[in-house]
Amino acid sequence: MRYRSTNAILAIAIILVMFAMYAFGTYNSLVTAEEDVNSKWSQVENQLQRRADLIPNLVETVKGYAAHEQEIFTEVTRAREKLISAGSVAEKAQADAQLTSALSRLLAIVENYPNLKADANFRQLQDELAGTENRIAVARMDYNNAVQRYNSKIRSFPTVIIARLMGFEKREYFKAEEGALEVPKVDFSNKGD
Amino acid sequence: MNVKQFFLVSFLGIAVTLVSLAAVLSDAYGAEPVPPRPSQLVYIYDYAGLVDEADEEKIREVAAAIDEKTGAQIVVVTVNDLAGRTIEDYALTLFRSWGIGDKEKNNGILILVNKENLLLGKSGRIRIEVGYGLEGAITDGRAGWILDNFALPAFEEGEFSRGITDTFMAVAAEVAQEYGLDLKQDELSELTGYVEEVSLPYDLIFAIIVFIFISMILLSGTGGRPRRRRPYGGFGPFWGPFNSGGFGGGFGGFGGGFGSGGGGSFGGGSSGGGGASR
Repeated sequence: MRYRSTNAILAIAIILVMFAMYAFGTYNSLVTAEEDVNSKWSQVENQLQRRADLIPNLVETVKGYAAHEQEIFTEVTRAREKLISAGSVAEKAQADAQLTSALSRLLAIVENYPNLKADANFRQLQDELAGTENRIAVARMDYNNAVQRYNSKIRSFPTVIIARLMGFEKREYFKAEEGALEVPKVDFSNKGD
Repeated sequence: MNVKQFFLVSFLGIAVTLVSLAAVLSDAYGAEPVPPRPSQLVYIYDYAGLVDEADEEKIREVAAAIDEKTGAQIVVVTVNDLAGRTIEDYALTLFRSWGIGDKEKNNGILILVNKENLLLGKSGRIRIEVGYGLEGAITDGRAGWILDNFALPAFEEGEFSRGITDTFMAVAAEVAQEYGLDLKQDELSELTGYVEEVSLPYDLIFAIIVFIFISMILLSGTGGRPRRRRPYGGFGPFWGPFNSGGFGGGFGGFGGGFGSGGGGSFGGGSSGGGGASR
């Protein structure tokens, strides 16, 4: 009798220990996945900041050649401020898309100023801007992939139990509304004209 | 006892098989439409056949020397087309799947050439993709500048091999300078022509400017102010030699017996999408 009960206690203890080990392991992997999301998000934020930092310089340079296009300058500047003050992931995505569309209009105006297009300073800014936009695209892709891994992890069984218990929340994708996302393609192939 | 062992072994065997199968499957599933990662790092992979044998050898020698001295990996890849992707996307995928540069330092650079757009003469023909770790040495603006001054002029003349080689050399020169390498060394001597001479004889230039200035004043002494100079005219003497495209003339052959056959390996570096395309 005594032998049996010790055996049962031992079995329960082993099960408990195994469960605890599983829970710790799961918890740690969730933390890792969430940290991955966080670090990828800070990459996105860095690149957005970098883009915002390039704008004043760009506006100044364009102004030097096309001072009377005041309307578009105000629009770009306003979109930039909105991006800087945006808080949540969705707000940032939205503001970034708006800045993109304002910038595409600015760059369309540039087409009318061949001297500006040939300006070495402007071309460099243009490259920095295009590069930053490409970096944003990459950072966004990395972030969204991390979110996808994390979100599917916290929703799959049996991890979902631990995730619920420990309060792991679903994370938002970095995604703006359709239509505003096209980053303007700048073609330098006609630079000789 | 024996039975237990048998079960244990067979269980382990099944587990290992499943795990490796899963790994293989996920690898196959995630396969990207870029060339598979070569087993050996030879720095130039001319899949589209755009680069001459001699130029290839030069590139290989310089890239190997830089890798050996600094760990930075500069890789040139030419492809026939981009499988329907943008050059930025293709370059990033290839960069990451090959793992160019050191895993920790991310000091890799990929120069990707797309034959299709190159022949059509439209954008998306060439890209310099810069790993995280070298973004300071080659900013996007710098990368664009290199393409404008080394790649495009040669491409317009149909000299693809020269354009690619010059672009590589210009990139390599920037990297070598970033790491403070001595460009007078045998394997790197090729690069000296691609550096904006930091040690320009400034006093001489200054003297010339003063001379011009004085002669302008003297010549226009009777009245009439000197004509206003264009705002960027001042760059003329500095950039001039680079724009002219007159490279590669005066370089002799290599003296060094540097073997490029050694072949390193890809380091697993990553890129965040920095660089420029044309």
